[in-house]
Amino acid sequence: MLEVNRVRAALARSWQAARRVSPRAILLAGLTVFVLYGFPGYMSNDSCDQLLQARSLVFSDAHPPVMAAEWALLDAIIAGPLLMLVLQGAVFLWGLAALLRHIVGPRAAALLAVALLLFPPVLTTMAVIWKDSQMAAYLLAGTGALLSPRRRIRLVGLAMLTVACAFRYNAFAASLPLIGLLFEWRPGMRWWKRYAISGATAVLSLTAAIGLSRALTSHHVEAADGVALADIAGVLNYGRDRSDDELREILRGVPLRTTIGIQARARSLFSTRSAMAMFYGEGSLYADPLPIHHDAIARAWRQLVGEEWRAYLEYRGNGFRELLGLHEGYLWTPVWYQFLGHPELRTQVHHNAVVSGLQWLELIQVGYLAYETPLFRPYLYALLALALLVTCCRDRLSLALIASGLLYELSYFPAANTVDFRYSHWMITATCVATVMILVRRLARGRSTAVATGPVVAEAAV
Amino acid sequence: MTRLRHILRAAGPWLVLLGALIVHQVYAHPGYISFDSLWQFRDAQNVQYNDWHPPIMALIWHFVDKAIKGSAGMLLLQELLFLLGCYGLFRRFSRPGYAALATCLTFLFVPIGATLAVIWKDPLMVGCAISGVALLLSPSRPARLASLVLFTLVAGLRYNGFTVSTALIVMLFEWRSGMPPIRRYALATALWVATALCGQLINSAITVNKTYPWHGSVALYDIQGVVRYAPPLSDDVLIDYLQGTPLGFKDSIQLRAKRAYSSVDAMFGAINSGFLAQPQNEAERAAIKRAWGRLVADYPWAYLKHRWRAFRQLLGMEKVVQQGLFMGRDEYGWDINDYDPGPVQKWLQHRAEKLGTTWLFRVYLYLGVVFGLTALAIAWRHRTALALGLSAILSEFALMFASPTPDFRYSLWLVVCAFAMFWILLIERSRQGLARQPPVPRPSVPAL
Repeated sequence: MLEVNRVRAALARSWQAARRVSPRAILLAGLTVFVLYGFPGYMSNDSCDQLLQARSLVFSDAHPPVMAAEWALLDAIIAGPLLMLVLQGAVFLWGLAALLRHIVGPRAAALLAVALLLFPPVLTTMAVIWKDSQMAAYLLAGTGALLSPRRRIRLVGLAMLTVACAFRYNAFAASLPLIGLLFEWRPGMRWWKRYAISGATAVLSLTAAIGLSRALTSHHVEAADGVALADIAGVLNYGRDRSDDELREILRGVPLRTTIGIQARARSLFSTRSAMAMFYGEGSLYADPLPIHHDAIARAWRQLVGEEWRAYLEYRGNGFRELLGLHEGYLWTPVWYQFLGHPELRTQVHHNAVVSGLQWLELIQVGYLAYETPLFRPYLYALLALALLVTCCRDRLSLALIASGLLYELSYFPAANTVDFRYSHWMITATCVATVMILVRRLARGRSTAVATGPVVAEAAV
Repeated sequence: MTRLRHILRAAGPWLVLLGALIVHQVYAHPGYISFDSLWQFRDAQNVQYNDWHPPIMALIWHFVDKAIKGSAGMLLLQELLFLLGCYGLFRRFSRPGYAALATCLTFLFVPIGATLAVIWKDPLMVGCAISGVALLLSPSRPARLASLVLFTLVAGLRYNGFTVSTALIVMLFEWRSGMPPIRRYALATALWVATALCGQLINSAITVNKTYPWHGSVALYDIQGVVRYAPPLSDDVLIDYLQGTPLGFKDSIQLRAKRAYSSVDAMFGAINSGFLAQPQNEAERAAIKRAWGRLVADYPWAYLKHRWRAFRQLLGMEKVVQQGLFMGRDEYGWDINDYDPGPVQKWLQHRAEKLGTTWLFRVYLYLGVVFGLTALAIAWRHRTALALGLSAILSEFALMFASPTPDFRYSLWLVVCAFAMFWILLIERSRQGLARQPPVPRPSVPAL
C-alpha cells in the first residue's frame, strides 16, 4: 500500500512538474523534434536550384527570388539547408502559437502549435526546403501578428504577409482573405471604411511583393509560358482532331520540337498528373521556351483556349481532381525523403546527407499514412473546410483561414502543371488550424454554459 | 551592474545559453573531423570496435548516428553536455542569470570552444566530467548516483580518464549527508575504483580488434627519448636492448634517435623517421615492452629528462608550439556530411586560427592559475573548488608519463577547471564581501 502511495505521489509530482513547463520550452521541444525529423533539411531539384542561385547571387524568377535571397543570407552563416529548415519550423511554430493564444492560454497554444506542426500531412512538406513551406510559415506568423492590439506589430504582420506573397506567384489568393478580413488600421472603425482600407492594403501588399521580386530578379523567365504551353497540350488532347497544317499555322512561333504529328505527339505524352513530359526527355513536344517565343505562345493560347474552352476546362478539371486526390492512384510525392534532387547535384551544391536510422523509421510510418490511408488526401480537407464554413464558422479568424486555404487551392485550377501534394499544403494547414480553433471555442463555450446552468439547477431544486 | 542584471533577467538564463549554443554552432557546424574522429566514425558505422582509441566513444557515436547522421549529432552532444553541466555547476553557487553568463563566457572562450568543436574523445570526456560534477553536488541522491554513470564514461573515454574523476568523486561524493568522514571517504574511494574499473571493462567488453595502443605509441616515443638522453651507448649495446623490436636502423642508432627526436612531433617523430616502426605481431610487442622496461630501469634519469621535455612541450613552455587549434575535415566520405563553410564560419575560423598561435593556448598559464586558485580554495576551505583544482592538477601531471603527443586537447580539462574555479571562487568572494558589509540602517520614522 505504501509503495502504491509512493508511486502515486511520484506521478502527481511529475504531472505538476510537466504542468510547470513553460510554453517556450514546449515550443523549443517541438522545434527540436521537427528538426530531428528533417535534419539537415530535405531538398529537391527546385531547392537545389534556389541554393545555387543563393550562392551565385544571380536570381532568376523561374522560382520566386525572395527565397533565394533569404537563403543567401542564411547560407553565409551556416552553409546548406539547415538554417532554412530551422527558420521555417521556428516561424511556423511561433506564428501559430501567437495565433492560437487569442483563443487559449499560452501553454495550450504551444502544445496545439507543436501538435499541428507534427501532424504528418503538415510535417512532411514543412521539413522540405520549398517555397510552399516558407510561404505557409510566413502566412501563419503574419496572421498571428495581424491580430495584435499594437499597430506596430500589425504592420509587421502585414510585412510578413507581403513576404509570403513573394514566395509563390499565386500566394495572393491566400493572403487576400487574411489581410482583407483581419487587418485593422484602427479598432472600432466603420465596417465599410475598414474593409476598404484592408482591401486596398491587400492590393498594396501584392504590388509590394511583385516589386520585391522584380527588384531581386537579375534574369527574367516567363514562368507563365510554361503554364500556357501545358494548356495548349491539354486542349490538343481533349479537343477535336486537327491537321498538322492547321496546328502549324496556329502554333507558328511556338518552340515545337516537331511539326509532324503534333496532336498525336501531344496525346501520346499527355498525363493529367504532370505536363513535364511535354518539356523534358527525348521525344518531348516542346523545346525550352525563350522570351522571344512569349508573344507567339500567348497568341496560340488565346486562340486555342478561346475556340475550345470546353476542352480547356476538361483538362484543367481533370488535373484539379488529381491535385485534390480524387483518384485511385497514389498521391504525387506526399512524403519527400531525399536530400538532393539528383545525386549529380552533390558536387555542384557541395552538400550531401544521408537519412539516419531514426529518420528512416519515421519516414516508414509517415509513408504508410500517406500511401495507405486517406489522411493525406487533400479533398478531405477541402470538404472539411467547406463543411465548417457552412455550418459553424462564426468568427472572422476561422473564416479568414478557411477562405484563404480554399481560395489558394482554387488558384491552382488554372495554374498547376503538376499535381504535387505540396500545392495543397496551405489548404490543409489552414483547415487544420481553423478546425482546432472552432473546436476549442466550442468546448470553451460548452464548459462556460455548464458552469452557468449548474447553480441555476441547484436553486430550482431548493 | 543593475543594467546587466535587468538584461539577464529579461533574456532569461535559457535564452542566454541558447544564444551561446547558436554562436558555437555557427562556428563549428557540422563538427570538425580529424583522422582520429574518422576512425572512430568508421568503427561506429561498422560496429567493429578497436581499442586504438577507447571504443566507448565509437559506441556512443553509433547510437547518436541513428538519430542524427554524421558528426552533427556528436557535436550537439558535446555542446549540450558541457553547457548544461557548466550551468548546473555554477547554478549551485549563484543566481540563474549569472550562472548562465559565466557558462557562456567559459563555453565561448576560444581555447575551450574551439576544442569542443572537434569530434574527439577529449571534449566528450570533459562534457561528461563537468556534468558529473554538477550532479555530484545535487541534494538528490539519484542525481548523485547518475553522476557516477557519467564518471564511468569519463574513465572509459580516455585511458587516463580515471585521473580526472579521482579527486572529484573522493572529495565530493556523499551517500548521505552527515556521514562520519572515514566512512564517507572510504565509500567514495570504493566508488571511484568501481567507476574506473567499469570504464575499462566496458572498453574491453566491446573491443573486437585489439590494437595495443601503448606498444604502438607511448612506448616507441619513450624508447626513442631514453636512447636520446642516455649517456653515449654503442650500437651493440642498443641492439641488445632493442632485440626483436621493429628497429629501422642497425648503425648510428643513438645519433639517429637524437636527430629524429622532436618533442613537437613526439611519437610520429620516432615512426616517420624510421627509427622504430609500430609492432605488427606479439613477438614485436613483447620485445618493445621488454626494451622499454630495461631502458627505463637502467636509465631512469634519461627517461625523466625525456618525459620532462615532452611535458614542457605539452605545457607550451617550448619555443615552438604545436598548433593548439584544429578545424575542418581531414577526409571526405564515410557518409559524413560534406564540409563547406560559409563566409561567416570562415571568418570565425580565421579569427580563431589567429588566436591559436598566441599565449591563450599556452597550457602552463592555466596550470599556474589552477595552482593559485587551489591555494585559495585551501585557504577559504572551499571543497568544490579544491576538488576541481586537485582533479585538474592530477590529470595534467598524469600526462607527464602518458602523453604520446603534445596535443592541446589533452589539457582541455585543466583549462575548464581553471575557469570553473575562477567563477566559483569569485562568487564566493562576492558572497563573503556582502556578508562582511554592515547592515544598512533604516531611516527613522519621525514621531507623529
